[in-house]
Amino acid sequence: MKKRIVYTVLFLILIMIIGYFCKDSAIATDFYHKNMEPSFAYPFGTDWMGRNLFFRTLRGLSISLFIGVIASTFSALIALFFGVLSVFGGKKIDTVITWWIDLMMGLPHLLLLIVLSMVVGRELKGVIFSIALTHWTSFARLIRSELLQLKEKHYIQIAKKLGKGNRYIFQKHMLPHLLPQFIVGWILLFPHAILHESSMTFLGFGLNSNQPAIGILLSESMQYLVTGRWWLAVFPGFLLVLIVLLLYCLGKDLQKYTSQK
Amino acid sequence: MLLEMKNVSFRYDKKTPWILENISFSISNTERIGLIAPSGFGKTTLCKLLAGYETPTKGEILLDTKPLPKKGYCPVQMIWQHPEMAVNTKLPMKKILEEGGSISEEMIAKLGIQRQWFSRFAQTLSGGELQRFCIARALAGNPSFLLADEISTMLDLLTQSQIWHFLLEEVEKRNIGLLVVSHDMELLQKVTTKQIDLQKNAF
Repeated sequence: MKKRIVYTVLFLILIMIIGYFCKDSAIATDFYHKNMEPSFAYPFGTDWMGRNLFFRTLRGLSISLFIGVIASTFSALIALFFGVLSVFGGKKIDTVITWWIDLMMGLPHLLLLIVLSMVVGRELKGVIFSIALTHWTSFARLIRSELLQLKEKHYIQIAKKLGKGNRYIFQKHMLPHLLPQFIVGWILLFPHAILHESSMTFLGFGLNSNQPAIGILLSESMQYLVTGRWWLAVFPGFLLVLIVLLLYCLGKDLQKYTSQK
Repeated sequence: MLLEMKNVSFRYDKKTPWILENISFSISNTERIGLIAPSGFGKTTLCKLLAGYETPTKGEILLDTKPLPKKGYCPVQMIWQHPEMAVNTKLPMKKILEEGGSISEEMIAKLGIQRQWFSRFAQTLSGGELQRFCIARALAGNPSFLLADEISTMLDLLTQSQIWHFLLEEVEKRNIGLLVVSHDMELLQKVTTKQIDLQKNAF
């Protein structure tokens, strides 16, 4: 299990590094070799401008992963902040925060994403901003309920009667219990963030079309699917699903690993 | 110092029946009092009220005519019945012990705590070993009263006698009032000077 976790992380980092280096080859056009089917020279084929789909897909995945890392990190931090605040801030603050979480979870996710992205001005910052600001809710709820449970533990009540403050109790007693859960929850935010980034971009509210994000590749391929160029949609789509599944499994593995310890 | 319980009644919320009703008694810091009651009577709840873990629904608890402090160190310390629930399993025992304050070598030796246990975690120690840590933690600060809630029920006789010998000596030396809660009359007669039967309401 430990090995599998390490390999998965290494594989994901590798994709990000490769993607970083295919920046130029992902947008290089070659009109002599356009609309080619998958072959040895072009494993994923080429599109109508002769761009190598293999590099474009890798580049797209690395962009998605990059957005996933930043957006879910911010989201997790927001969740931690509100989770802790609602447990330690008193009843009134708790009511307001849980009400706010319910409200945000009641709204359709994609709609909120699109509106927020439009406000900031789309592109990379719009996507990251909107994903970070919409994905923290259920995670914050999880952190809150975990902390509430911990708060009732005898040893935490004893620490309080020994004169320890909230800060000490949170750092010494709660954090060691919360940290594994926090890391797992953070990893499990990844697939959500990536899928939402792709769907936003696919709908045209996300990244610009000059960036070969997976969502862009998929929405472009729509125009050519009817003419039988299946590889334009299949490879990027398949790899997106693969990465999402990989991240999901990584999260689940970590969950098992930390609960064993 | 005097710890008083005045006409205290307690229940968790309005729909549930009273757990404790109209209980009053007092203990001074030179006394050792034993409380006896059958299981399920609310002995632990009584201790939690006295140590400030819960606030009474009716009546009041006074320490030298003042209510117990809500924040900060509470001079009434309680030792819990289940030591394995009273320690954080993610912290080494040394950290748990230090939480109470500084502890003298003498106390560690008298309680029979071994140095090699310090780096271990609670899962690898037995109930008796953990209870010694809990007692040391409660005594490390400067408590005026100590509540022992069935602290020795799960221990073997040898450990029981070791722990009680230490406790009696310590409370005598430091002028700490001791309230022992148990359903074992023989034990109470040995370690306390006065016994109160909660069921007969004889106070």
